[in-house]
Amino acid sequence: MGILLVRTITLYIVIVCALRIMGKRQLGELQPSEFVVTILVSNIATLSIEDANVPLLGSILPIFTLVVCEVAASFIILKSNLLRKIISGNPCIIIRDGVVDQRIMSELRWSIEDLMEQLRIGNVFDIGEVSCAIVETSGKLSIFKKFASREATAGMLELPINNECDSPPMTIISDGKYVPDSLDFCNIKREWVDGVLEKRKLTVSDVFLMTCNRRAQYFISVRDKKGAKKK
Amino acid sequence: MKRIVICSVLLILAILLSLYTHLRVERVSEELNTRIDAMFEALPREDSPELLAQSEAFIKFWNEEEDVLVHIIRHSYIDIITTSVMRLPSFAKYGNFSEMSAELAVIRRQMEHIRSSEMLSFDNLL
Repeated sequence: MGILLVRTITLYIVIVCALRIMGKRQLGELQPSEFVVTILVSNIATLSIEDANVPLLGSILPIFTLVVCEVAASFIILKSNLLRKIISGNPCIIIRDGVVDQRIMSELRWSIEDLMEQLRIGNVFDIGEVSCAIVETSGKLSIFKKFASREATAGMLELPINNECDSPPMTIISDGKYVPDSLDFCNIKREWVDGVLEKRKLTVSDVFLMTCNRRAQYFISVRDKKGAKKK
Repeated sequence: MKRIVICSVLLILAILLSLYTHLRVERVSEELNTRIDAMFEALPREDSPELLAQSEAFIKFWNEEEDVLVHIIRHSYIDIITTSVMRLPSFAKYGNFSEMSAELAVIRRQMEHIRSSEMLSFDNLL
């Protein structure tokens, strides 16, 4: 049993390394080739875990070979449009100018229910609101609404534009520790944060979570069930 | 670029490992066949002490090789050879030469099976 434990931990480390080498793309939306590799890697890993007769190298070698193939394929796809089309396929316009393309639906083997479900997932409940919809190579539906149905934007309303509004809040203290990259991103100095905390009679180690944006709007959540404080 | 370098290194390691496995199995197979041939030559003479000495040398050789082969070959394939090899000294000691001959044939066949399954051939691919 001990050896099984060590083999499982070893394979866990190998798979984590493999996924890291394959990159972040692997962890989000899967392209067809990535999907195949992910399934194969998980199956191959179980061979050595389930059957002590199979040498560990019998799993590690195929896993890394698949990783090499996947990275090589991604690299080639990046360089060649033709191969990208062959391996990943093309996005398909399923709704064009408000009209559903039934030929594309038939090619994709999508029923009306499938289309309506994807629209609802995209927060569209009335198909009449859609100007254009594209089925991406990952299978997700991207929706472009008709002008009349689009949400009003700051640009449409001609509101004064402040670039700092575009900065998202970042975590600057996580579990009592500063996150230096976030401080740099928000152009904030530690001294300023210390000052804010001092006003609230807190130290960094008292803070469970603190987020802040470039306009110095912050949110603090204190440790030990003292509750969250918001500016 | 970093990924390409890592993958190139992994690919080279994988190829080297495959090559090493192939060469190691070839070498073991050749050595094993030589020893089996020598024992087959001694068998008709029914020379128990000589066969016993050869069997014990065979066990020593196999134990050393087994330690390496278990990392690259399915254990069940190797276990068949190990079981047969361990029987040889007893057969030699107590003069059971027909059984010894049979075990040697089993060892040779099993090693040939391992060697052929490691070969890069169209049959193996299928």
